[in-house]
Amino acid sequence: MAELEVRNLTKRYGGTLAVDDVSFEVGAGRVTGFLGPNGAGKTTTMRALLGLLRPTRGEALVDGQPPAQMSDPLRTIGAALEATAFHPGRSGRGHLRTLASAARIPRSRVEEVLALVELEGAAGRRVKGYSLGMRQRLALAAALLGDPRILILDEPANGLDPQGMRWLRDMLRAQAAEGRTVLVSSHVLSEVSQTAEDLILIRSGKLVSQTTLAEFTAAGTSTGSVRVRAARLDELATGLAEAGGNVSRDEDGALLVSGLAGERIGETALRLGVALHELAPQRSSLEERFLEVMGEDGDADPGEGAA
Amino acid sequence: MNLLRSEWIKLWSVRTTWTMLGIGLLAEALFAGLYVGLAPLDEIGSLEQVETGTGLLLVLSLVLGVLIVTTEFRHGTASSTFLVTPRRWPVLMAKLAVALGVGLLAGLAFVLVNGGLALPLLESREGSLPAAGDIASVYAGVVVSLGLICAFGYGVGTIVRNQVGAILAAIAFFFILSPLPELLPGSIGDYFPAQAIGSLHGTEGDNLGQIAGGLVLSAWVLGLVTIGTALVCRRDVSE
Repeated sequence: MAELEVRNLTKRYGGTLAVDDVSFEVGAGRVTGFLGPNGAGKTTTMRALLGLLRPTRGEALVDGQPPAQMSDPLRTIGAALEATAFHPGRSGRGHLRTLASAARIPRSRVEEVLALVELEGAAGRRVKGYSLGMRQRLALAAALLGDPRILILDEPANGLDPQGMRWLRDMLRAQAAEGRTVLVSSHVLSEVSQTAEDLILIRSGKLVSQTTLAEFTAAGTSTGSVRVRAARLDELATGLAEAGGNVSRDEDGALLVSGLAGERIGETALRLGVALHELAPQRSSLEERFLEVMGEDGDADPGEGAA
Repeated sequence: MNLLRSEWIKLWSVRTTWTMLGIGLLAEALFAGLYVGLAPLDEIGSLEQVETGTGLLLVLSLVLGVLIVTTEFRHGTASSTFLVTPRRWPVLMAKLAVALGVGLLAGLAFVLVNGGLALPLLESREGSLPAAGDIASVYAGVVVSLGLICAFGYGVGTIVRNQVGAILAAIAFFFILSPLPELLPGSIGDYFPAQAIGSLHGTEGDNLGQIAGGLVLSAWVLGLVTIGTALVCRRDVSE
């Protein structure tokens, strides 16, 4: 039995189908990335898994049960939702204390999670004055409060600085390594591609695919291109074409090479004795593949389903 | 019990609660002091002076009751609240208890301020006080009415999701529309909330009597809370 399961989940808001007949399972011990453009239905699906909204059709199950029937919710699931909001006049510590006391969690645990997300210094201040990154940390602290087996995080990387992103990645990996179930959504592939092993892709409320990161990458048809500038560009272009590369020029006159990895391009230049001035991979093949699946600009039309 | 504790912490961990009750009590103190201290004696009458200044405190208790539930939806904390406790009605019952509790507490604070200020002033001017039993029953009526009006506000808040809308609805229903029932034939008007509070305070001539007034107001609260609880348990929490 999967820790999290969505079966034929459909949610309609008035005339819009936010989620349309989506089914997937999320297993323990790995990080699962839940990817899709803004407005694809990620948040709606996550809210259904948390028992916060009723599906129009289908069901969302936690340990095979409807989420409202969880016996010990905070120790089972911890969640940080994208719109996770706080009362602006309550302190971060105050917010966590209300949750802790409702779930019979000792106050010492509040201090523990505050330390864990490195928010001790600001814990006594009112949330009103928090930056987006601090709010994300507070939301994560709330999610971790019950030391839950399952984590559901909606766009947790939004507003985090690079250090924060790195901290988040390490934390997610560690949680999964301990055998927990981690479902983390994002509209940016690169945010989860370093941590997620499984991927669930959703677009316009419909499931695009459930796959693993490895399969997803392998199935890519296009490879990334590399931008190259060098001293004797024409000579290099010929050499690269002979080596099997597909060479074109971009608007600045630099070479755009596809079908050859950066290493091969460098070796070719060395063989020809051409000094390289720039060797810059354009999109990673993974990202190219993601955009291929999701549609070019990665953002759904605003009209297609509410978040 | 843990839900009650959680809701109690929620209430007192924001400044609004302190500010509103503080303003209410300060106004009560000022009003009781000025009115009882300065008004012509023949205008003060018999027992009315004992409950001077309850008006603002009643409005603030009503609004505080509304806020106990609407802030959760306005600021999106309802999500975390219902994540911790997916069965929603126990949360709602805890909130109702907290609303009653804070209203009663405001009532007790009122008694302290009024008893410590208005009564001594009155005694020094008139040389005597109304019978202790009469004063006690007015005080009891005020305390109970503050508890019930806060619960009434809470009930409105569970039904009307928008915070400003809920506050306006509660105030309009209670205070602005209150003269209308007077126009109704017979004693129907006595069963409206504002009139029931008058009965409960036991200082306005023609009315239902304190106990009946309290029961009528309780019935209003029960009705609102029943409807509101059913609604909140069914609604999606998407804020």
